Amino acid sequence: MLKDITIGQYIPGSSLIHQLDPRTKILAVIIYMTALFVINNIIGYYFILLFSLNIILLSRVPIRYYLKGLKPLLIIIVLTVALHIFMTPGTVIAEFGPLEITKEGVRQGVFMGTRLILLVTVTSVLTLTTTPIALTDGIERLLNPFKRIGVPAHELAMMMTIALRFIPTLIEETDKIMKAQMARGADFESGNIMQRAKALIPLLVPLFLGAFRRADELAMAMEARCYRGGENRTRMKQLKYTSLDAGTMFVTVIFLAFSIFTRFIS
Amino acid sequence: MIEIKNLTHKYRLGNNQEIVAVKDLSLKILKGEFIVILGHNGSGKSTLAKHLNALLLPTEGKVLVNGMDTSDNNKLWQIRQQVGMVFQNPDNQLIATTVEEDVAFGPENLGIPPEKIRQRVDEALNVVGMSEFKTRAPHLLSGGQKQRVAIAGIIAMRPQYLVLDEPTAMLDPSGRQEVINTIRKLNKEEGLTIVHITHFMEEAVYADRVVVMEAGEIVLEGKPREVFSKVSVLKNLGLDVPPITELAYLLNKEMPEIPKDIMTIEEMVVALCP
Amino acid sequence: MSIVIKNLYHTYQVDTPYETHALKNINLEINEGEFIGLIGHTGSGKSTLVQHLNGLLKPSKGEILVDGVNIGQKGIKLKEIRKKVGLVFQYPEHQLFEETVLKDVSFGPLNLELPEGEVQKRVKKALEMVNLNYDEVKDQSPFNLSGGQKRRVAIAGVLAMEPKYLILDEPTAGLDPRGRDEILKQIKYLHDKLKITIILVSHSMDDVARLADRLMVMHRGELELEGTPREVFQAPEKLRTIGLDVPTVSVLLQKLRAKGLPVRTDLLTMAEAKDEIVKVLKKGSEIHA
Repeated sequence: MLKDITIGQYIPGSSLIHQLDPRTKILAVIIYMTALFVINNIIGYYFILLFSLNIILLSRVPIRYYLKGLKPLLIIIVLTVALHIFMTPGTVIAEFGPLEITKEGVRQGVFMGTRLILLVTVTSVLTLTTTPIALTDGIERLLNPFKRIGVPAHELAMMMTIALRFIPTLIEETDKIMKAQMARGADFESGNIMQRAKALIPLLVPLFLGAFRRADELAMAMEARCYRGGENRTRMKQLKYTSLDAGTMFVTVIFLAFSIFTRFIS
Repeated sequence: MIEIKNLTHKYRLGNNQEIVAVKDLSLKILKGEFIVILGHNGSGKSTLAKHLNALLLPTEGKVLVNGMDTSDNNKLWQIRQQVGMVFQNPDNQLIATTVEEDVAFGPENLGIPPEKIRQRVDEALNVVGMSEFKTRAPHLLSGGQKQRVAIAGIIAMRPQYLVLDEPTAMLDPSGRQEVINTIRKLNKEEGLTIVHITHFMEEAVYADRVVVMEAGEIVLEGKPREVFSKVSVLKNLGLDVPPITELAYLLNKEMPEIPKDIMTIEEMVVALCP
Repeated sequence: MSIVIKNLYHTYQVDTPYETHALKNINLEINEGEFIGLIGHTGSGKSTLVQHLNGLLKPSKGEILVDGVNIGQKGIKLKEIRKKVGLVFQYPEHQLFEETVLKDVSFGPLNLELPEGEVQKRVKKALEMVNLNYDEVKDQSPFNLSGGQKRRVAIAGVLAMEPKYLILDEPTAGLDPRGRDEILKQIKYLHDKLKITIILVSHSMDDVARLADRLMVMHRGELELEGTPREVFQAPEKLRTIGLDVPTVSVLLQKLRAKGLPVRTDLLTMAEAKDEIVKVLKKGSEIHA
């Protein structure tokens, strides 16, 4: 049941990608996404496909984990592709009753589908090769310069850490409360939307109350351990920016430049 | 030394009602001592505990930690570093997603340099016997293991006092034993002062001193043997008596030659089969 | 009438590296009117087992018969089963959600689609069964009650379904001695006076020893020992190897016997032990005299 869900799944390893500083990986993913949306023709897509395939292979994470990540998004991808195929005006190449398929539509559909798949897969490279802690740490350091303009970098990172820590606990609790209410004859599975929404109240109220109780106790425990925000705080694990990271950033920037260049080729 | 002088704590409820949780209570906790505070729910023992590291402040009276007044805001972090606290619910006091990161949380807050934190974390995990679990996620540990990690998180801050607020109430018998063994070891080998709050009588057997609370006041105080032998008083307070002491009490009524203050099975065997 | 479990297996996360066998080949029978103590340490499978008895979990293999009905068969109304087999989870007060005690306890009976009057009647009865005053508590918010009272309201929520079999998973967890004794007394009353079959899940040997007619000891997903408390506590070594406490009385009596004091070792309470020791000692001194 709910216990089978794995969130922010990290696959331990020692590949090149695993060794990178989380900051490098986060920045590289942002640059990659930008490039993905800049590219608009077949040469660009060939190029980015090749680049992405390389990264996936370099990560040494079994392909099935990437496929698993795509599975929940399958419907969205299929829907997007279909919408583009049928809705784009242009030269008609086939007709199914009122539906028309156009040449431009097919092209657009394939492009959009590829874009979505690549987006999800390459983001998965980040989460599959980086521990949640490293990820949070990376985000905190990257946001640090923006503190001056009021971005609460440390607080955001602390919130993420606590969320990651408590997601499994809350999932377990949801499972337990659901079963406890089912033991009192509650039915979460039948009825129309309104009835189902109403059936959730006996689950949601205890769940929220429980979360508040936890938050209260956690705040007390944090205070008892001298927590007073990010000021003067040190960290046990330091992030290290190595020549490997510098190299990766260099390659990624070149890649972005080339992606922009492909727009002007054809 | 922690000195509690005429401490009174009042809670205000929404409807202008006042509840006196601790009433004019005085107590001295000496360095190196292992002290157990007993009492049933609502006796004020947890309220008392939260005064020891300034999580709560006295309504009246004073609490002094090594001479520092807990109501002095400038001394707050120094007091909390010296008086570490472990809570009841093992799930709601672990903050990080791995064991070692969690143990590092306290030292990080104190601004200790990274290399030193690493060293303290390793030492602390070693003391509680959790080294092999250091990269585990806390939610995958048993209750007793979680509490040991929580204790490690405190001792990595190098406190002088360890206050445990019902750390065993939610654990099964083996988890309880793990926690008790750990705190006894910390007291004996590391010389840590222990304030252990519980409603399980048998956990008080190892204490240097037992304090029994009821309605915000101390009603009994002394060595475990002295306190336990007052079977009828304890029963009236709604507390358990260790089964062996109860048996000694029952036997003593019929055979006065058997002493009333027997605490362990071994002592009982010796008394009955000399 | 009874609950019968035949060759029950339960496996979590099948075909993953995390595959665990929570239950292995469980066979047992619980007869109407019995008071069963189900013991085992955390992770022994006892909670998984009880969740099978009212169909919250489905067996990976094997079958469960409640009053002769196989609850795994197609078309079975699980609501009917859950009405018959009530289950009180650990820390049941965490499932309270309504504004008033009355509404919360009504939740079960309303799910059974009973008429208004009947619901009201059952709520009143259920609250009285857990020793709460209906008129005093019915309009209060359950969240304003004390810890022990909250727990009793939650138990009333299950009792209002009028189950024939009542399973309680660690009903005394986290309570102080006073709260614990009150709950245990109430459970005993439900069994003795109201003739409800009780299955008490616990890791406290001392609690179950005094109450249960029959003990079932679980270890690593298997039913390791079964019998009356007197029989089970005769095997202290076995209990200890599977990480369970043996009641202090049994340990003491066995040690005394080993030291040459001819006492019976199958006693369960301190009062019994006292009588036995006094008897044996007095007899001993008469012989010497």
